[in-house]
Amino acid sequence: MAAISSIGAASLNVGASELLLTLKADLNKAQRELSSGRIDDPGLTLGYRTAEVLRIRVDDLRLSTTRDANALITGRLDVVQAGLSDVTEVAEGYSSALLTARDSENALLPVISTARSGISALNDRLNATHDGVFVFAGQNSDAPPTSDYFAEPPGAARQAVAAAFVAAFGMTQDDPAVATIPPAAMSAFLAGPFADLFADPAWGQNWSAASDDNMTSRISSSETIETSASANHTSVRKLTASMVMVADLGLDGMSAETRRVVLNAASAGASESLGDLARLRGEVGDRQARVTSASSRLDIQISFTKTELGKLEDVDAAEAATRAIGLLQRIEAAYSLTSRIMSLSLLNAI
Amino acid sequence: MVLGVGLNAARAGLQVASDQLALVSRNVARMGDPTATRKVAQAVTGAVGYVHVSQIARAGAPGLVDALLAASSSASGEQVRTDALTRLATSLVDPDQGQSPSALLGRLESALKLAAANPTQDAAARAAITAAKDVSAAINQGAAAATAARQDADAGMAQSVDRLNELLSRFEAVNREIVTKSGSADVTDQLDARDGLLQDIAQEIGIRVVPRSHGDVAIYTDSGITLFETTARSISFAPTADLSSGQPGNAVLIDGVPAAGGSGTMMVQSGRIAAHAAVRDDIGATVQAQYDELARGLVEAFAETGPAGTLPKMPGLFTFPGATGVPPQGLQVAGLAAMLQVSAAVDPAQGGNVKLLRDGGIAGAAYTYNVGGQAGYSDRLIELGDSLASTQLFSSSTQVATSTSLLGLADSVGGWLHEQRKTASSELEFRSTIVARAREAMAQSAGVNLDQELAHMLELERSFQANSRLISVLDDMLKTIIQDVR
Repeated sequence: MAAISSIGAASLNVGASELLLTLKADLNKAQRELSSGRIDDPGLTLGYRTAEVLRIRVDDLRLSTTRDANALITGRLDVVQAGLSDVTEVAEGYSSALLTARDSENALLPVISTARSGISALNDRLNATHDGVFVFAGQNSDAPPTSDYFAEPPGAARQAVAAAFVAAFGMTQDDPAVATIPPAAMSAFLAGPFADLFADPAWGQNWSAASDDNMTSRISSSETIETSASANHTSVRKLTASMVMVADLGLDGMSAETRRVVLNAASAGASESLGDLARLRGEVGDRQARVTSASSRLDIQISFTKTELGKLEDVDAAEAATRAIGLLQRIEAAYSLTSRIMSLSLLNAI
Repeated sequence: MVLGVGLNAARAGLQVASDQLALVSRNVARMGDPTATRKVAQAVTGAVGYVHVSQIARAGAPGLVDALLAASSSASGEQVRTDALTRLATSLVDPDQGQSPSALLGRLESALKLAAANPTQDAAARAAITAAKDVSAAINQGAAAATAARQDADAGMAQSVDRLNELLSRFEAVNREIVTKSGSADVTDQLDARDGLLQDIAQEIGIRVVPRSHGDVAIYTDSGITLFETTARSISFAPTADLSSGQPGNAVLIDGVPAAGGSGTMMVQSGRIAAHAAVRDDIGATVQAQYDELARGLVEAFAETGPAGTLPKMPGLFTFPGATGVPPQGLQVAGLAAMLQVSAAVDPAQGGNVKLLRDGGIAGAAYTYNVGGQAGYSDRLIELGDSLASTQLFSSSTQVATSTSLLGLADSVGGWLHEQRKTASSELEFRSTIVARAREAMAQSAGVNLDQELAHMLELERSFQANSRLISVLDDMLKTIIQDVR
């Protein structure tokens, strides 16, 4: 603008309006940045570093998804743990009833009914679901792992027990002749044909639809853990066996000696089961802790990616505001200068 | 007779003053025309002592014109490049809108991870299939956008060639007029027109202008091909109807010599034609390659090899019509991006079984990974979730890293495009500034300034008045003489 005296009029007009356009475009940009808090058109500003923005956004999404998935897994493990806690409670109640029954003739009927209700309760707990998943079914997670033992007509499990009893003693469990079964024969039955019912393959055919292998899930970029339990666990088998002995072998009709054999075996099974349950609960507790710690690590990573993204994309509000004010001043100056220059014409003087 | 000589001299003075005044009004009239240069009448005193206008010259420095031509070639080329890149970048990888291949792949990965956390229910798997369809749609659209960009560039080349032929024929006419009239008449307006045409030509193609005798000029491209010498050379170009991936376009020929779009030793460096050719053959083809490789990478990442990993590798979730296997890594399959689709076998909308995503077997029952058919089986889903982040080999025609993950490729592709855009945009800014400065310099040395013309007019007015006065004084003197004689 210094060489006004010789500058061509055409270029003066073009120059002034081009300058104003540039200034206004810059002002618009500053305004958008101020209102959004992020740089305007990050692709154009960042160039190849756009790849970083894209990467961080995917990382951020991956981390939050893993965290969401972990919430689901935590929920499932909580249901497993609660189920195991209930099962433990049932087992403990039953176990103490057994102790009483061994000492007292009068406690016989109560322990039988405790066992019967225990079997039902176990069935109920093992069929617990979380978000459509049967959590004790192992990987076969869309089918209830166990069915009601006392259903009418009797299910496969109860039929198998009855058949084994008939095969061993030549009579049904409610036959009065049960009183004649000698303790040794009962002992052999319990250790042989009866125990086989709770071992593979009979267990899988009659009692449980669960699979042995549990569901596995990713809880962080590299950790994979088991996130369900299986009704095939030894604790469940032992507890079921123990309760079926008491509830469905005609215990009340047996001789006192034979009954003692059964009660002893049941008692041993129940206490072994309690030990196994405690171990399983410990394992599940460990997994819960791992999910929790993975999730809190994810939280730290997520806040880190947010900071990283901010470094690339965020605009210093104070800087943008100062820039906008500076631009406004320049535009005003350009306006007044342009009108001054345009009025400077010899035409006005002659 | 001295008084008669004086009268004739004064009349010549009047003539010169009015000629010059006519020039002032010509200058003022063309003031708004940016190509107009200031005309200056050169008044000389002739042999008999009378002043007359010998010739009309143009103000200005010739060197400035060359600088302006070079700058406007570059600027208009960069404008073409920036526009094309901005269209591509905003439609494909706007980092804000979450519709970039990178963001969509990220969403697919997340959907797979969520499905892996709950393999029992179909809902999560359905969401993953939807995410997969979004990805394949985005890849299809990307391929279409890249093809459209190439097609537009091809059309741009054709337009440029037409315009160039038209400009050159006009140039030929003006130039002929200048050469024939040069030395005998005022050709300054024709020279202005010719300079204006040169500027228009320079926007289409980078040129070098060589002055010759009698005001004639020759034009060469910046790569050395003759564009105009006495007559205009013919420029030909045949547009291509289909420029999908792998399809080459035709070259622009000047007198049969390839000048842009293709291979040759005399490729034009700047101007719109060169930029359109670069968009068509370089940028557009690279984006096509990038999308083809994204598509191939997806087919690879989701391919199935059966539970033992021993069956021949076949496309899984992502496939393409007529697939007989998985294309080898590191080799671009031209046109794959346009054909990518989600396998109908797993897409519930096409009557497929969504459980195949969890169980495998999209490529056929023999490929079923979940041998036991268990609803809680998550190994395959976990594997698929990881596959997007595992390293593959990609073709170097993508112009980005060749050994990276699918997600890494998607990120780099976005970064590459925005980097090109940033470079072109700052180059454009720089070149435009040079053009503006060159114009300003031209205007300062050659432009018409109203004040200057008005001042000149006042001066001429005085000269006219003085000459008129002289005539009236001489007239008085003659009158006196005649009265005395009587």
